[in-house]
Amino acid sequence: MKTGPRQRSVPIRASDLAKMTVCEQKLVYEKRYGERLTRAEARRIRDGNQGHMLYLRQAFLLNPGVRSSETKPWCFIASAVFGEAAAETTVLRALRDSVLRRYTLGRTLMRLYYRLSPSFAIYLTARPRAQGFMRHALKPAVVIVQWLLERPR
Amino acid sequence: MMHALWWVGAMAAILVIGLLLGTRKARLKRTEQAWLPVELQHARIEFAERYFYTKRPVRLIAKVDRVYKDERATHFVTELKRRFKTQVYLSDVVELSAQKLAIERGGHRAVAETGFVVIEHPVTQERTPIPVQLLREHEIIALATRYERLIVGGAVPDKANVAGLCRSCAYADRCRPEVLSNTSDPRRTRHAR
Repeated sequence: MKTGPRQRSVPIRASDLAKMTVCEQKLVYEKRYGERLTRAEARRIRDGNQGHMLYLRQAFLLNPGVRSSETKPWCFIASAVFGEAAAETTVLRALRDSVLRRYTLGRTLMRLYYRLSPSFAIYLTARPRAQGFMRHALKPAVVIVQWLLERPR
Repeated sequence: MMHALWWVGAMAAILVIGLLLGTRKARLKRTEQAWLPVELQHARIEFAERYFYTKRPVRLIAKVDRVYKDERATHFVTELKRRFKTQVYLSDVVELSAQKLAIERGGHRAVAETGFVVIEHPVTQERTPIPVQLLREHEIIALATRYERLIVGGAVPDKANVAGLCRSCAYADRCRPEVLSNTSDPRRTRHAR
């Protein structure tokens, strides 16, 4: 098959071939003018992404050795409750990296946490009220951890 | 004394939480087994959200949702779709077929001729796997060739021509403005995809 220089540098995405079977004209517009979404389409995509995230987490839980191009969702509970980039999640990460990781007991606790928390995070993902409860329950712990990490030694 | 009590309490709490979470994992396994098709009952998840890339016969990149591997080392591609209707469209079959080609050529693994579209109900979260016969390699190559011609302007693109689909398209004003003004279009029939 002969291809031009542009095609040689950009591989075809499987999802583009799929889009082609729906409406070729739309695909051409997207390639020419960039992707445009209606509100309904954007909502559908958001919903689909959430569904896929849960599907991925469950895959990791069912087979921890699964191979993926995505980062393992290992920040589980704090990420599910506060968000991936939240200050609280960063504080708890700092506790893990600068305290727990240094001690045998800390590493054992981390292993236990990594084994148990994905299922709890999955449970929380689908339940906003439980997330709210956990947020309030974890806040004091986060404040104490932050104080301990920041106090002069 | 109080110190020892605290330790006992903490250990008991950890045990209870561990037990609860262990039960939850077992329940998830049971739930998974309930919707998995017979072909995948003894298979395990090998890849999840993983990219595969091949240069030949066409330059193709595909991201798989989940790939299962059975006891005979055959891989089964699955694609998750969140829909109210338990229905498979041609676009699903094309996507899975392109994934199969990318895994076979790029990942050097044997992939079954049958793939599964897993329809997840957005409200009940119930999953229904639907087996689909995947397209052959030459059919995917033909689609890729058509794609490249469309992108460089070497072919005239077909339009969906389904009023319902066009009305919900962000390019309707450019492509078919009449569907935006005429909401009672009699051609507002089945969804094409």
